[in-house]
Amino acid sequence: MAELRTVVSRSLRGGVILSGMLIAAGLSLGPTGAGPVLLRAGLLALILTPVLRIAVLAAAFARGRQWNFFWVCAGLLALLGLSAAVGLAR
Amino acid sequence: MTQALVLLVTGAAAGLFGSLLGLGGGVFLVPVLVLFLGVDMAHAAGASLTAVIATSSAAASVYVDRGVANMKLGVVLETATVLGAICGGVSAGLLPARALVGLFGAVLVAATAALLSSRPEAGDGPEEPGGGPLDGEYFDPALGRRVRYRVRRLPAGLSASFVAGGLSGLLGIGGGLVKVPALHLFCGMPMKASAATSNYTIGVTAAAGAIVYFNQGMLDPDLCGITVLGVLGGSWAGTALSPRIKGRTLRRLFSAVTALMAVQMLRRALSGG
Repeated sequence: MAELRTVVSRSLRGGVILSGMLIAAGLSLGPTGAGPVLLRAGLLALILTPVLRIAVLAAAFARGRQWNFFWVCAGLLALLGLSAAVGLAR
Repeated sequence: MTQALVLLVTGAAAGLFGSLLGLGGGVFLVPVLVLFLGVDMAHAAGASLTAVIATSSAAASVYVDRGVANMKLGVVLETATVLGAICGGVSAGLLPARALVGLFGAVLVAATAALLSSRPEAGDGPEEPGGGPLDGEYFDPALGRRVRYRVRRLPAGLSASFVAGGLSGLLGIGGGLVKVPALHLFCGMPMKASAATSNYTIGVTAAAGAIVYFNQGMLDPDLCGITVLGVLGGSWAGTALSPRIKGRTLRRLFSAVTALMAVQMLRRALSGG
């Protein structure tokens, strides 16, 4: 359980730090050159951080052979895909 | 330039209170963006969604590490929330907005009353042997001891999460205002664990919405970027502060927010705005 916490915590922190750095770099470069690209990449990295967290959790549950929780995570990822698809279709 | 500063400070305040109370911070952010900075509702909602993800991820990375956020319960509740968000998104437009806002206001009145009237120490550390797969325990420095708790009435927690997801799909708000009281009052979780677990879950709901905004070009990159940087700073401050604050104090602070929001929502419902 302690190991699970460390992995999940690190994946969240990694996502936050990466997106924070990309956003800060994008903003400081301003509207020219690589600025807007970095900014958009930072926002995308931020949005994908919670999704990454579920994937990490699913992998950890699979490794720990906690299959019921693994299936909950897998179902959740499927639901997120469905919700993105519904949203994009509208 | 002053606008950027206002955004940064507002984001920091939203992150601070959001990470302490288990809210995304959209509750504070959207009114400021719309009323003071003249941002239109759609772009304000998009910025609010990215801010919710930032608060949730930054706060959860710390709360998960400390063991306060209940990860297993979190994923189980997230399925109900995302399902609710899909239903809410699909049925948006079928129900009149005024009725929804009124309903939300009524829920908040009930939550405030319940938070203020329950036993002063309820959930602040019921010493109970756990053992169930969803039960949790963590060390609370403010109390100076380990807190063990049992998760009760899971169906009630799931229902509340479904409603929270539906509201966020319909109204573009985070579900923390509904989730935190439900986890605390129905499921018997300590206030700190409720707030931390809510924080952990709301990022997922917000991500589902934000990806759609992102693809439709509805995220203003500068607006979102500056706000997010403020939120990240505020969230880290909030998680540093959290161990020193008592569960009781959090509960009072939280009920003040729900009372304020209830008044605002009911007024909007009655005036038709």
